Amino acid sequence: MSDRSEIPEPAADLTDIAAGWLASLDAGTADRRAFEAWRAEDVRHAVAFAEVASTWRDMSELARISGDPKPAVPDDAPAPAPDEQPTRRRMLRIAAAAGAMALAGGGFAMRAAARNSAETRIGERRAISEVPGLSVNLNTDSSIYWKDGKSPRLWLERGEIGIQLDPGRRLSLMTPGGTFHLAPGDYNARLRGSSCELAVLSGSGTLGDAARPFQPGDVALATAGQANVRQRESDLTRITAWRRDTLVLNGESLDYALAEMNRYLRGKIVIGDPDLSRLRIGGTFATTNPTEFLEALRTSFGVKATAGADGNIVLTHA
Amino acid sequence: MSWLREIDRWFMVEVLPHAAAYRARAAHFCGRDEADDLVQEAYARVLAAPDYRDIASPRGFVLTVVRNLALERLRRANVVRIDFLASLDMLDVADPSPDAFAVSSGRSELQLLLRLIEELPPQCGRVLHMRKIQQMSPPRIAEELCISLSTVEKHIAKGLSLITKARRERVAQAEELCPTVPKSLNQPLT
Repeated sequence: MSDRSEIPEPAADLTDIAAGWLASLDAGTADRRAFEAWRAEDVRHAVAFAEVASTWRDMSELARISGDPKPAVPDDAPAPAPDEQPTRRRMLRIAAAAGAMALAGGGFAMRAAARNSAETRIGERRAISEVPGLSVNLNTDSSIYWKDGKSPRLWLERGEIGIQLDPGRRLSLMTPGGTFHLAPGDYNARLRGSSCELAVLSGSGTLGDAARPFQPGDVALATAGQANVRQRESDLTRITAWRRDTLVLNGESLDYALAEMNRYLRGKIVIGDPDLSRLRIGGTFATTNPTEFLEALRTSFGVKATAGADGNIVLTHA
Repeated sequence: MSWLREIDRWFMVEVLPHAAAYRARAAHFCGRDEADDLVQEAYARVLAAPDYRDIASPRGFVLTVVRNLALERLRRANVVRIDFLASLDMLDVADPSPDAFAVSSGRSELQLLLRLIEELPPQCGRVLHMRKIQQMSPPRIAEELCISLSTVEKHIAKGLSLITKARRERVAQAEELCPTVPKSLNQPLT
């Protein structure tokens, strides 16, 4: 879909305009009379608005099936009880209530407590231990926020983190893929697009209010509140290698190897000859300096690395 | 959603879920290129109907409107193949049962929505996820992502628009699975 967004739409795309109205109505910033005037101006406007409102309503049902906990603050909509059969009409009422409450409660959210944050730039690594009983390691190009309190919460906004939680502590890890509830233990969380991959080294956790907890060795990919869990004990060394500034490869393609290595590099390594991407690489490499990795490519596969003017490095056959 | 009028709610519940059927009917008469346009025109007629409450079968009603609009268009065309028009009148295509189309509402529809949110540009998908799945209010999302409220709105508007369009496209794909008139009759009329 990102591709499609780059194709220029006709000047007056009614769906875009209608979605803009709905978003500002939802945020409480719309001029209601201007909106009513726009809708009344042309019945096609009303059609476009009803269509985006229909998508909006259907998306409200997602909250019900997702594993996210019920919101803790009163500005959010009440989640319907799980045992009730949803009907279109009923969902409509709930959606209407949600809209009204969001409009009424907007001011409250602004007064929410301030949070702390930390981030790393590309190639940087950083340890944070400002919340008692919790230490967080940020990998390259990562960003987190946290809120301390009786039930501390940590938001993973970008990149990858290691989480160590002391005995007696609990943590809610909020990610775009869903909310993990973690018991004391050692975890690795990495964002992949709008999903989040959680590896459990020790301890246990759940996604949302799911009944089955993750076990040590589990790697769970959370997407929109749903977890896809695999038992990958053998992968844990590879997953946590970054904590020792290394990249572990077990016969992955050069494409994959470069994608991983480039996370740590400002100047990126790119493939110049397409057939190079089929090479399979094994070994342990330092992420702090690509020289060793490039040298291995040269000696093992005869791959030449040429630095370009833009700081990128191009790989070709020697 | 206090911004919806009663007719909008009716339209969303009774009319829009059968979009695939209307599109199939429109494509049957006018070809796929004109189908969307025709359906939008039919929607406009329906949403302007003052006596919409009296419509016993909104689905059947919209299908009839689509058919009449299509015939109107065909008759307006400069050169009309008489045999085609005659066949339309006689044929009077049977309404495929609702089961022939994916009537949106089921679990698969929700799975599709999840997938579409995932496929959005990252920040756009994140904001929509926070709003619709985590049910956070727009000001709270703004605060937590350290972006302005108007940026939150822009992300929501963009995501909502992209998903609405993607769903419309899916309806277009569903239509291809449905029977249409023989190819020879479905040529563009000039």
